[in-house]
Amino acid sequence: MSPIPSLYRSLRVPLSILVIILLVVATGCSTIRGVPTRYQESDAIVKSIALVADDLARLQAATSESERNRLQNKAIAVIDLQFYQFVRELMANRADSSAAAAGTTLGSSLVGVFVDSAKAKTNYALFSAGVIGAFGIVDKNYFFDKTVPALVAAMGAARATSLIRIKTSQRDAIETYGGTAALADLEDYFSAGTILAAISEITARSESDKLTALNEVRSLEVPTDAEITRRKIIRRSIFAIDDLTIDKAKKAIAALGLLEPKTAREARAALFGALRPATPERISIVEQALKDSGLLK
Amino acid sequence: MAKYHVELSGKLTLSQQSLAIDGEEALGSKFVRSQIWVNSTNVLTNLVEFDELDTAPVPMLGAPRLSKILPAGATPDWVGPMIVQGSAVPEVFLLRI
Repeated sequence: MSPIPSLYRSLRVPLSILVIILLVVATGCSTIRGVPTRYQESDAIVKSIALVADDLARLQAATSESERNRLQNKAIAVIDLQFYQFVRELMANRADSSAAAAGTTLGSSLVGVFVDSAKAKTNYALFSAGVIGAFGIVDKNYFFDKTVPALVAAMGAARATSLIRIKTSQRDAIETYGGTAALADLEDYFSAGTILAAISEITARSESDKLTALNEVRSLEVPTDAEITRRKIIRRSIFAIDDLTIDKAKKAIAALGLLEPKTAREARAALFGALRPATPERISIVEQALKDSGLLK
Repeated sequence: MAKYHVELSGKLTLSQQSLAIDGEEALGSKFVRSQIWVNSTNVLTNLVEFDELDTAPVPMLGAPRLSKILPAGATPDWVGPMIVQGSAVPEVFLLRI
């Protein structure tokens, strides 16, 4: 006798329930995307825009601002459409893999409800273990889930930076921002929307993260408008310190118990340093020292 | 110029975050950039980098304002993702007014 019917009999699950569970697992859960049907297919729009290699060659040889901008914007539109399609697929892959694994686990749990004999439960446990084993990619999905939003955000940041540079340059004359530079910027813009660029962006951040991890990071408070005005008056009086007022600054710095500065610049740096981290007490002490020295009215 | 980092809470609104940056810059520093960051209590938030100034910038910096929209013709000082009121915003612009 084949072991499969035996297993099925011991599970004693009506065929209809199994079929429903398998249908839910295989189809239903993974199709919920939260995105309506597109107004137009990206591929169709890209095809209609019809960006060809000759366009890029004409861009490189462009002799007027309007021709340069028209061809560059045409390419930007294609790059944008393909990027958004890429992000949708990236997010859909993430959703599909999670939904399939979650659906299977849910299905297995439901099967357990209809199982009553001890032997059947043992078989079910084996079945469940098999399912979990088959979805050993769950751990991978977990990391995928956590990584994709960060990568998409990093790509968005890199693309925005690149696009701002392009849009700013498009205002320049053709002699200043020529076709070759415009073409190079397009390549840079395309590259900004790749996973490699995202990883590069995140890696660059890790250096500052390391530095930050070593120090206790204070949190910025939200000052009132009146407090901001007060701080700006203090700032103005410190920025105003020059060779003519350095003696007053030295007096204020001495009152704060700091080393005597040699130059006006050192005096300004010392006073600003005394204000940080900004606490009401520090600000009041520096403000009073500035008033006592005659730097602040 | 030395750099330093401070946390800018991701629970705040954009206008509150703008005020927080303005208040920090009012003590002689300049906003450089912000990045999404997980703090020591595992909360997803913003880490902002400032430059310490010892000379008044010329021209003077305008008051910083964060915005989700870039007005036509405006050039932002910075653009990037931020956590605002608990949600990730892919593009926030720092404008000077």
